[in-house]
Amino acid sequence: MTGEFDYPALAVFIFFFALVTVLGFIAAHWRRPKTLAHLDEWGLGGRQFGTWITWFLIGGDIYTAYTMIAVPALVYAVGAFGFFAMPYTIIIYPFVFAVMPILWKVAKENNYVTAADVVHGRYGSRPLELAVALTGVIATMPYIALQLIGMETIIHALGLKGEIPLILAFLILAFYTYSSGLRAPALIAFVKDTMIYIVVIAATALIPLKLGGYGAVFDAADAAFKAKGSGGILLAPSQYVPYLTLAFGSALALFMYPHALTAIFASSGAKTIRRNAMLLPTYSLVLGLLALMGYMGHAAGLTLSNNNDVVPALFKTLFPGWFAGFAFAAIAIGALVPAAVMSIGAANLFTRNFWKAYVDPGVTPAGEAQVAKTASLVVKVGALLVILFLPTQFAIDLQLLGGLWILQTFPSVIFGLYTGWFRASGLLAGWAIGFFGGTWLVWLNNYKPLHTLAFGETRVAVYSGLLALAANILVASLVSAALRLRSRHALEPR
Amino acid sequence: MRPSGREGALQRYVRGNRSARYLFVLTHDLPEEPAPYRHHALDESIFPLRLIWLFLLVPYAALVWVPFYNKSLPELFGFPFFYWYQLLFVPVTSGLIYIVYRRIRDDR
Repeated sequence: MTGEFDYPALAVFIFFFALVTVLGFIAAHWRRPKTLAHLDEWGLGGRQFGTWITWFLIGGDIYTAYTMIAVPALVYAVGAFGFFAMPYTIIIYPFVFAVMPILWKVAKENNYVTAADVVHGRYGSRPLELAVALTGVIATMPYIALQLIGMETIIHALGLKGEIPLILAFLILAFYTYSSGLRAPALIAFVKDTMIYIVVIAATALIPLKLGGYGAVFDAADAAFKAKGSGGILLAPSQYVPYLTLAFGSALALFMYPHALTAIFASSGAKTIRRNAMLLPTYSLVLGLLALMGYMGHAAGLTLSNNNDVVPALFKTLFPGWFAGFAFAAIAIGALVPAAVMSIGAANLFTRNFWKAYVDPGVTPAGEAQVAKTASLVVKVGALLVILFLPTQFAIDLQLLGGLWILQTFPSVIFGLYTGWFRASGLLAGWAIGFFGGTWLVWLNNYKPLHTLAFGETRVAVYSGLLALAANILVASLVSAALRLRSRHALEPR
Repeated sequence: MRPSGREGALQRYVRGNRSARYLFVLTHDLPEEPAPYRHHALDESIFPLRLIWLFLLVPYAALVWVPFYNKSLPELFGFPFFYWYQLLFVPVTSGLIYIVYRRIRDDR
């Protein structure tokens, strides 16, 4: 992409960026609590967000800037396979509807702030709690880094060179998160999501008009894949199972992430969550339409050095500068909301499940809030350093692993809501098998998420995370069964 | 305190049987039962399993068999079947969740 300045775009971009910065600091006074010096207030916004705030917050939080860049980029590169984001973000909601209200109730009644709190409350096991908390933190760090990559792509598309603008944007984010806590991203999400909706509606209505309609867009993409000799606008039969397992595995993993759970715990009740399961698919529709921008890239005849540039390049080529600036601001602000919530989620884990558990068990609520604020700064600076000093591919590989890792906490967090059958040691053994075995699988496959299984002649590629989860559940069940059997024998008179 | 005797037995029966409950609530106030579980799954979520919850499985059933929708015809507004079918299931899923939401809300 060329690097010349586009002043109208830059002006619009800076205006909106300044607007959300002001909002971020004002947020400390929004629905003002008696004190912000309490982890429930700083880290969960007082557990009082109603249906609409939660809708904006979760929507702004899980449909990240990186998603908006990377999903169209994947569709641009490989075609139909990149569309797995669609079934993924559909099947997630029946699950959220059925399970998350229960998790919320357990958290609310026992004053839990994190998933690891829930696990500790259920099983009373510090090692299992630590495993869940650690997994949450290390899965989140590369995810924050990816938000930075999304922001970097936009900043470069604006023609700004070097790392200074990125560092500046991130420092601003760090400071208002520090002072306002979860209220900042919740308030900013209103602006961000409204902008995203405007951008996507305009883009999906106007771009095909300029390119000759959706039929022409799909035809152009089809022709481009045929010329390239790989990919296509339909799946190859060998892609059926990968498509499905990636969608299913990613869906199970998504609401185990600290940033998703933080937004769930921050809502005002089970009813709020149920309503949101019903309303959040609107964002999936937006994501699906955005994914098609990958094909519009082919129809517009873009030549790109990096697939990630497809969305910014489309806006720069097809829209006037001011609207491109508006779209870029929407995506860049889109990076701020999840990055803030992720750092808060990770900070909550550190505070509750490491600091309070091991360093200072008698810490006051105000002390907890202070530790969390500092931790959120450290987490963000860490992510920034990763982006500045390590190759981008490193963050992308780590984020892929992060999805697999966080999926391994699923049995510990969710099963206990329904049954007391599992034992902490069993779940811990299962977690270890899933975590390390899954990491090994991904490493074997050269940091690709798929592992090929051979059943005689038939070879099927499956999402490694799901294989690891299957091993995890199997080991957890076997060890729990053995432990239960032993304790029953111990109770019998001899 | 659990009510005992005939009144208690009636209330327990009514609590476990939905159609009986509809009749019962017309004439009685159901007393609040103390929560027996620290975790709520068993008493407040998907148990007793009502058939309406099966609606939530429809999106999974619709999307699990990839060969069914991995085709370009019939097209809709220029979208191959593969794309509009999956996009269509976004509002369909919302609608199904809404139906279940209405039912369980009315039940409590």
